[in-house]
Amino acid sequence: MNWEHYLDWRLTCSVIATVGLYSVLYKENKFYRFFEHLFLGLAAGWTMVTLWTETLYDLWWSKMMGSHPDAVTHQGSTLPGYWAYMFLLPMGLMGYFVYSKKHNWISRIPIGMILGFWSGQQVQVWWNRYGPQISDSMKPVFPNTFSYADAAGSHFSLLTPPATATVQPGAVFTATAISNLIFVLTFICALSYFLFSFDVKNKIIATMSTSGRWLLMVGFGAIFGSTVMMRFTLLIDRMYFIWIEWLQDRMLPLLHR
Amino acid sequence: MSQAPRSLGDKLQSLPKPALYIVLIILTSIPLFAKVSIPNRPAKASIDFYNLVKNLSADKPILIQTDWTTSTRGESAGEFKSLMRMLMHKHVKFCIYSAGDPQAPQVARDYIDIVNQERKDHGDTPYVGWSDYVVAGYFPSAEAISNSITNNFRTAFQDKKDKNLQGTPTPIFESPVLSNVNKVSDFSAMLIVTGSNTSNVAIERIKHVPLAMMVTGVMGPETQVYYDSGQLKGLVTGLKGLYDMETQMVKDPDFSKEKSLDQGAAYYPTLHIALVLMILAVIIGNVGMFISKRRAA
Repeated sequence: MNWEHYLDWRLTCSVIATVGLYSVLYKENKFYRFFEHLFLGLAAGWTMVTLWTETLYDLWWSKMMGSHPDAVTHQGSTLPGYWAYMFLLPMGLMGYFVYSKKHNWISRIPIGMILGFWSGQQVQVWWNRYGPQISDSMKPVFPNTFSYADAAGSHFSLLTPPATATVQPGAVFTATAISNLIFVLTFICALSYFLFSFDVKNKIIATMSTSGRWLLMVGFGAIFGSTVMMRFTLLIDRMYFIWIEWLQDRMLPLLHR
Repeated sequence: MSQAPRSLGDKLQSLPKPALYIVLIILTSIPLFAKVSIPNRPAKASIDFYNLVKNLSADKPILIQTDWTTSTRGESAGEFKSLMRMLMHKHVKFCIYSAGDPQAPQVARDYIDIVNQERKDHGDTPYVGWSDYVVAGYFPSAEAISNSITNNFRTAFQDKKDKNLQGTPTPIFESPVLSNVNKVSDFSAMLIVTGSNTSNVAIERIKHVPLAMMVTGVMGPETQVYYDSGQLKGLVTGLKGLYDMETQMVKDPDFSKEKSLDQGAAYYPTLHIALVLMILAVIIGNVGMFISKRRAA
């Protein structure tokens, strides 16, 4: 079997697998179950092999056994093994005691270490993630620039600068100020919704809280819409694979040979 | 006892699912055979991503974290291919690794081969593994490797190997790609193509290098805030972002020889048809509910 025939068979198997997986839309069936298990088995097998070949072998086994990768470029001379690496295996295996009713306390040791590492990072992680956003939320809501001068020095009165314009730092055009005001109002209203610590009787805060709920719904709607678009794209991709890549580009030329 | 006939309102609210699926499959199949061009105005985030990649210097390599596999092929494959076309055209060297999925490095290799084949077909020089790019493989913990990249890139990647020009697995720092790299700031940018939320981990931990991302539609709204706040220098989101990249390449005389319109242009019209069908289904359901309520009243 030559390479082209191999590709034909490979694509045909992929089409059968695609149809098998989509058959669940009609109803639960054995054809679907077979391909689901096949997919899971292949993914799990690939993961196990990759974990060994690309991670554990280089980062743990070679170092422990003394055949450091640098040895390749040192005319075959080996470096000494770091024997302390052998303690990593039992430490990892301790995590599996979570399945033992009698000895599950052992599993808490590695889990506790992981939690410790994780917790220690959280202050820095939180600030790296949200700090710039908090800072960026302080937006100017009053315009300070009402015209734009082009390269020739001509002035134009504008709400917003042209897309190609180089804007002076700190310039706030009217359109930007309106946009910022909408952002700030949305921000404050959304925060007001989460004031659960006391009974809100003030009419203004109550209105802001209700508005915040509506604005949050709008946000969730946008997120859901984007998610739906992505799911459609995945379906379109499968259709493209079946009709164009397999049928039009592979099978129809075979019929004409 | 005979069952009361269902009203029109009830029928409209419970259209048979198999019928809807068949209509959806037909409507997402037929437009794929027609080459329709949809007018497009690229988003600012996509323009920034495009300009970032376009202005990369060939003197410094870039670091690419690729965390997508065939499960998000519909969006991520097109994004990755458009990125590869630009990088190869600009002769920018790159180092690829994955922190999200063990299958991702091999998927990346496969798609580099596809773009390389396009270059061969156009008479361009193909990109060569080891001298033009290296694949550092998979790292099982996104948090750990992101921290290590920021703190000491050389230590983080020192044990990783890729095949050299003779096919022998060799430490990647002996490759011409990473010969002058000691810390993450020695890269001109770090780009992340992801089908999952490893983007958040990178935002939390990667520092000292301009960061830009190509994400799926699901992660788009969540990631957009990081672009707005300046944490990302550019962002390509889902199929719209991919189509933005392709339309910008079409208009750019720098890329006149490259294949510009590909997956984005092929899928974008079909997506519109699918969305129209969904909107129609929502309207029909609501009309049915309105009729039922009116009848009950």
